Amino acid sequence: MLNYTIHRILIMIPTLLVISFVTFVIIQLPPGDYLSNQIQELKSSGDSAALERVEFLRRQYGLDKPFVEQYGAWLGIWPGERGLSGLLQGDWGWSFEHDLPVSEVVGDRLMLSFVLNFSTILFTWAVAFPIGVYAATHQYSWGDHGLTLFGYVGLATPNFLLALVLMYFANVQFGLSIGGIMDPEHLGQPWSWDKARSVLDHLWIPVIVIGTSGTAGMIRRLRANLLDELQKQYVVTARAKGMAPTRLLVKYPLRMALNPFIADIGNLLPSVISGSAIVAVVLSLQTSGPMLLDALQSQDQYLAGSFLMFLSLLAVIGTFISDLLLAALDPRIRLTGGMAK
Amino acid sequence: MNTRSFRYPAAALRSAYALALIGMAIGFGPVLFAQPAPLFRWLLGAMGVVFLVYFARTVVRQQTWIELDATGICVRGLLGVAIRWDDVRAVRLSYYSTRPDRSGGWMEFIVQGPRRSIRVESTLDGFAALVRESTRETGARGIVPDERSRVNLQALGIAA
Repeated sequence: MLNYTIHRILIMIPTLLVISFVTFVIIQLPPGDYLSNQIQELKSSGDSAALERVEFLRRQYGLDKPFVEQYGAWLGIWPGERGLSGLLQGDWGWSFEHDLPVSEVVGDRLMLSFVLNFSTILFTWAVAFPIGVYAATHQYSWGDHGLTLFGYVGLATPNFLLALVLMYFANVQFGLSIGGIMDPEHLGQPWSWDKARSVLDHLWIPVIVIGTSGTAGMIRRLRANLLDELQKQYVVTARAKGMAPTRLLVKYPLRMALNPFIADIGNLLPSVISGSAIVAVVLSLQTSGPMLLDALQSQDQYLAGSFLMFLSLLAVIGTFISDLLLAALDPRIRLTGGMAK
Repeated sequence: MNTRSFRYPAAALRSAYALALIGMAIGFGPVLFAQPAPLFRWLLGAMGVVFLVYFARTVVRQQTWIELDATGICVRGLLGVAIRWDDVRAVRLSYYSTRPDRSGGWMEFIVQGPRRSIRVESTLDGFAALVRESTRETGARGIVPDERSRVNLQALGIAA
């Protein structure tokens, strides 16, 4: 396993470098930058003090420097105006749109996104797991057919549409406003018990809205994998030898059917932070998804770039963890693939 | 059975040293010269330590050879271990690959004794012969490899 870990780490590093480069290229692709647009506006209004400040920021963040120098300074491997000060040193840069350090802009939203998306993942697993096992062990029963229908409806319904429908019915039928992730009076306030309770009160609607399609997909995959395993020779042999059904199910087939859950960890970590951006816009959730969309639209390059890089780091770490777990759980050669050395 | 010796080839050791040095440079380099934030300092430092361990293991492997005879399997050199065939608790053959299609990977053979285990990687010269002899000896003493190991043994052309 040490050898495996070493190889995986060595793959991670160039992957992250390539991602960082592509991220930086993408956020630089549109002509001009946020400050250029600001300068045009300030010139037309004749605000010379603000113009000086914008020029100061341009020098400070090296926006007048060549592309490669900007990239190196952003990563923190090339000295800029402030010496070595980039992602590596924990300096996410300056959000020109919010006129604040990126870390301050992101701060609270990161926490809220984590709470929301982590709850969604728990909901997805808690619902999908027993239903998937039931559907596989009771194949073609009424329960299986009913759950299959639920699965297809869940898969076919876009999350944002479900959010709109729920908002409409909650407003028209019950007179409730279900938008936002907390009551408006807690927005921008420091964390307190009241604020945490308000978040928990509002959490269930977005969790159900975001979690429905994931739950349906997970049910289908778990059912299919478990059915595959249940038809294998070793299961038949164990049954013939009189092994108790529950013990047989838990000991081998269920463990093998869990592989897709583990493989999903790679996608899970970034989605814990950034998932469900469109639903967050529809439901007016103060999470990081809408903020990232805004930053990309307004070319707030440090906010968008640093956040994308953070998500990529989470994706790479998630994939690393899931690969290690999969290798530990199932170190089997595929005879149809290549041969070992 | 005559005593047979197996060693890791020089080319495999050279590539392991190169990997270890690259990893240590990437891990410890920024910690020493780029003043990273505390979180990155810990992550990079931990990564450097993993590669340092890998470097140490490669040194051990360079000084090591494995012997098989009728009484058991034995690692000679630094950190030597000997396990008699009669004391073997289990044998496992695992396969690892870092590619999505799981091609181009390597195998690891583990002989588990009462207190310590012997791990051998498929880069060893004569790996298939070592696995064949070991599974034959342990099979004769009633040690049956698990399901995954059996699949991997079949890939090596060894019936278990």
